[in-house]
Amino acid sequence: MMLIVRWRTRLISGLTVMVLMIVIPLHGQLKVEGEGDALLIKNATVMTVTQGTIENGSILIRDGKIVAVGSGIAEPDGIRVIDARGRYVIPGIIDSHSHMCSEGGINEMTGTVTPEVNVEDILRHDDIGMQRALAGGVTALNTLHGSANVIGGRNAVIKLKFGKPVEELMIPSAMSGIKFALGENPKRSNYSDPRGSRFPISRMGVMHKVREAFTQAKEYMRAWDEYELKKQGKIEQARWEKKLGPIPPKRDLRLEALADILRGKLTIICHGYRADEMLALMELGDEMGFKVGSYEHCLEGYKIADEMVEHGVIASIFADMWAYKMEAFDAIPYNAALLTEHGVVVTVNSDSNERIRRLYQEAARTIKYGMSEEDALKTITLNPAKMLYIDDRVGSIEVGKDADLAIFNGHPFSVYSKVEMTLIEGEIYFDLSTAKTVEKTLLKSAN
Amino acid sequence: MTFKSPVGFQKRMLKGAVVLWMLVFFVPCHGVVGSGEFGNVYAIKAGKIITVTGGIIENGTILVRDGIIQAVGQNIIIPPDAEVVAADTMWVYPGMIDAHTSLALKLPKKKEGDDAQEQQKQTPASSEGKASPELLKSDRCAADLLNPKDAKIAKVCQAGVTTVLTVPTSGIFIGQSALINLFGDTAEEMILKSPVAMHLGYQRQTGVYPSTLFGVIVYQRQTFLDAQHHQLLWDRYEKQRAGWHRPLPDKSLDALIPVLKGNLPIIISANKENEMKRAVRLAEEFGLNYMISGATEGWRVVDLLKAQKKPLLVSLNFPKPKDVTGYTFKLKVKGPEKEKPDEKKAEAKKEEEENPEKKEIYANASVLHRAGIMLAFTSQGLKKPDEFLKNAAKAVEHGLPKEEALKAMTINPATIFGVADQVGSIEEGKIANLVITTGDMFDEKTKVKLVFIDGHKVDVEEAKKKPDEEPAVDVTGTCDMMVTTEMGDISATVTLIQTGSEVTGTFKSEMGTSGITDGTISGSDIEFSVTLPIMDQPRELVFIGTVEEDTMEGSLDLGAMGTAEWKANRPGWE
Repeated sequence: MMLIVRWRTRLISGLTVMVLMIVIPLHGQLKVEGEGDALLIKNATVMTVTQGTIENGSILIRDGKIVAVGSGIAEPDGIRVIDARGRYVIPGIIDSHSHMCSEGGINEMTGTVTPEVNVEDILRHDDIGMQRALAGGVTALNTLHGSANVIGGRNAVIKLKFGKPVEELMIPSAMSGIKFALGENPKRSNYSDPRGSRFPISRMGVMHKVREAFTQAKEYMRAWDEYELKKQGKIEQARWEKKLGPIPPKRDLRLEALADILRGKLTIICHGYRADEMLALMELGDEMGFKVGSYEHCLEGYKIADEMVEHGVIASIFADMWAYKMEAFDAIPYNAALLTEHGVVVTVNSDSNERIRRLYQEAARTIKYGMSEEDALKTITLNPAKMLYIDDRVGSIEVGKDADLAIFNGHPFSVYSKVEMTLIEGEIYFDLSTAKTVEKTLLKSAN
Repeated sequence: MTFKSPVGFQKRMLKGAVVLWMLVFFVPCHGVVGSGEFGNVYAIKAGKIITVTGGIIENGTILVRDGIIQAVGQNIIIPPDAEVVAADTMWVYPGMIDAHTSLALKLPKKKEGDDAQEQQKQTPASSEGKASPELLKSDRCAADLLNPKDAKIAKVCQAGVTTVLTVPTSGIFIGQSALINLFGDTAEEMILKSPVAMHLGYQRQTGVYPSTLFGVIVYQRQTFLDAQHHQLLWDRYEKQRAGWHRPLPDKSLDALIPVLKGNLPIIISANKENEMKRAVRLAEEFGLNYMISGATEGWRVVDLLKAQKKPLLVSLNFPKPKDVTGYTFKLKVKGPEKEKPDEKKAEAKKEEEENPEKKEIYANASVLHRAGIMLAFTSQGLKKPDEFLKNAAKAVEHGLPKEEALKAMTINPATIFGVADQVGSIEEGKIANLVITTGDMFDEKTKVKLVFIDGHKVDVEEAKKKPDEEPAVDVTGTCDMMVTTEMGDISATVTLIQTGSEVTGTFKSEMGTSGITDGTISGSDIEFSVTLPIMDQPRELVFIGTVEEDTMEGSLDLGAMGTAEWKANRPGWE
């Protein structure tokens, strides 16, 4: 049977398709209209993370904070408005593992144990990578010491306020931790000529270094405790100390950092791949009195999910990379889903200035391998916020939290979507429509 | 003699008068002329005397004796033994002071096995991330490393600078600086004040701790903590020796105690915005009596610097716009790549007029001055000595009042370094450091005619007028060169091609390969430039030296990292 279509039908359907093809993609540029202190983003699909997704939702922002979220928020007078019709708004993405915004080297490789160094000392605010990360919807990140040292240095959690001076970047109440590294990275860093010029070159050497470092730290703590007790008169001073009082031990910044881990003031951000070494460190922690805060990469984490839950350690992983080195051989893309199923808090990170631009796509890929859409979104929003102790301020779209938002022109997990606007504390730091003439945008916000 | 006749009486009176006259004039003069320690007697008659602190004197005279300015004014009686310097159409300024250089310093010879890097390699398990004690050079004094025969001194004097703060180079706790007058056969004659200050830098070490910037910063903090503890132990030991093992002596830590107490100022090198912020952070943590030297991006943190209420040593080495913090924000790159030499100057001028970023960079000093900060100019990073004054003139063009620019090269550094009663202006009693010029120092047409240092006349014009000689040697060929620096030796293979008095070629070394540019031969003097990456930044290095019969050798300015020496066999010779 021949399908006869009248020419009129064809014409109408053709015209309709053409019109739809023009109208649907073109919602018009996302722009701010009006004047005022407060900002209203309206008519968007708001993915709050903690309270579901709101269709035709609005977000009211005042003084950098979210003051109202919901559908049908009354639009007050005298405010700026962004009509985000057809757009999706998610909380600003948080990358829990990065090395951005640092200068002068991230690996103090001339020593194996160097927790005294601090990324906060080398922060820079003029890293073009920030602009590119903002273009990928990222509003905050955790910048770390590298993984060439068994025990590296302290991290810094920053918001990507590109154009602001460096002292405005750091979030002071955020997690402070020391970067540890197990496995191939620390030991293979020492294979170069002369071989073994730096200890260790084996996994057992790596574990020994951790044990040795904490043993020294405990001795340091004991010396200081003794001094404090003597000062307070709680224990007797030595015979010759009585005249001038006890002498304090010399402050050693390295041992102090290790002591702070034992005291719980600093957490451990540990780079590890293999299940055996990750288990070993947790066991050492139980023995010596420290907790591992997070395992970075953790590609064999699925094998020890229950032990990780018991220890309370967070998994900060890649979505689906595997076999790029021997210790990544047993990595599987179901890692995120399996860990989540067992109750481990999972974050998806980039560890790369390139991958950070598409972290939302990284998170999306975990859905194919068993993660739910809500959980996938959590891996780049609420979970890293929890890991970095900033979930009281960011990580979801809730009243009272900072207005750190990313506006996409489609579902963030759709391969066709792009970030149109990124805001930090209500200020627009990335706008796709002006990205090409970025000098103008930044000359306004820079000094 | 009792016979008294009118004629005899007159004779006696005459004799007495003659004796009296001789006593008055010759005896003291004889004593001074004979001593010769501080130079002869000069009466400089000048058209304009810019005293700096006492206004401008038209058609005045400066009387110099014993290396000291005896008098300055309009009606000075010139003593008969004075050499009159007729500068009636010229201007006289106080000798300029360059507040931060590494001039006239000699690198100590490296001893065998002295190298921390070598030690590291020899002891495999010593990778404990501990800084070598060799790194702490806080007790190193520039005064002990002076080389009065440094060839650069003459060039610096030609530019009108008579006094410099010379600082050892390289390292983190670099050492203690000395303020020197650029005249003398021995180091002792040159020293005006030593030590002036402790110096702190941020040089990352290669292959040994600390090799990263955050390693350097924590090393600085830890060293101050070590010094505090050292001070505590010794203070206690002084009060009570009984019952305690004596603390270990440590010269380097001892040298830091006056810094901790605030008695010896500490000068921290910092140019960029974040570098200055880090310097302030460190200084505040330890309550240091400090100053920043460099501040080429000072305008970017002017409020912070103003709040510090400290004087600032500002380098006149203007950075290129692309090197200034925040430039990465701007995506376009200005300027044509290769141009014809005669068009270069016009293009450069045009670019400057259109380029607001350059204006901002040149206006640095004017912004800092308006914030009320006392400034002293330095030539840190400048390749040629004459750029010091040229760049000061540029700062004046971009808003710094001329008198302030002059003060920044005279009385301000003198005040900052605590020698304002000796140098920095033309006043009675001060050291006779003077510069005689054909006109306004800030005018590019002005030439320096004569310089006085410690009352000694230094003829600078002659040296400048020496014309480029015809090449007396041919250096075409390949040679092996060894460059000796404080941080290690670098070997290189250099291929040279000489055409007339121009030299081109290639320079191959473990630091990289570069073409040879601006190569010239004048007589048997050779000079050429090479561009190599130093600390990840391409830098132009200028090699200067002489060609002997079978070798060539000379020196090489590494800027903040000091002066290196190079030696090569004569190209073409075995």
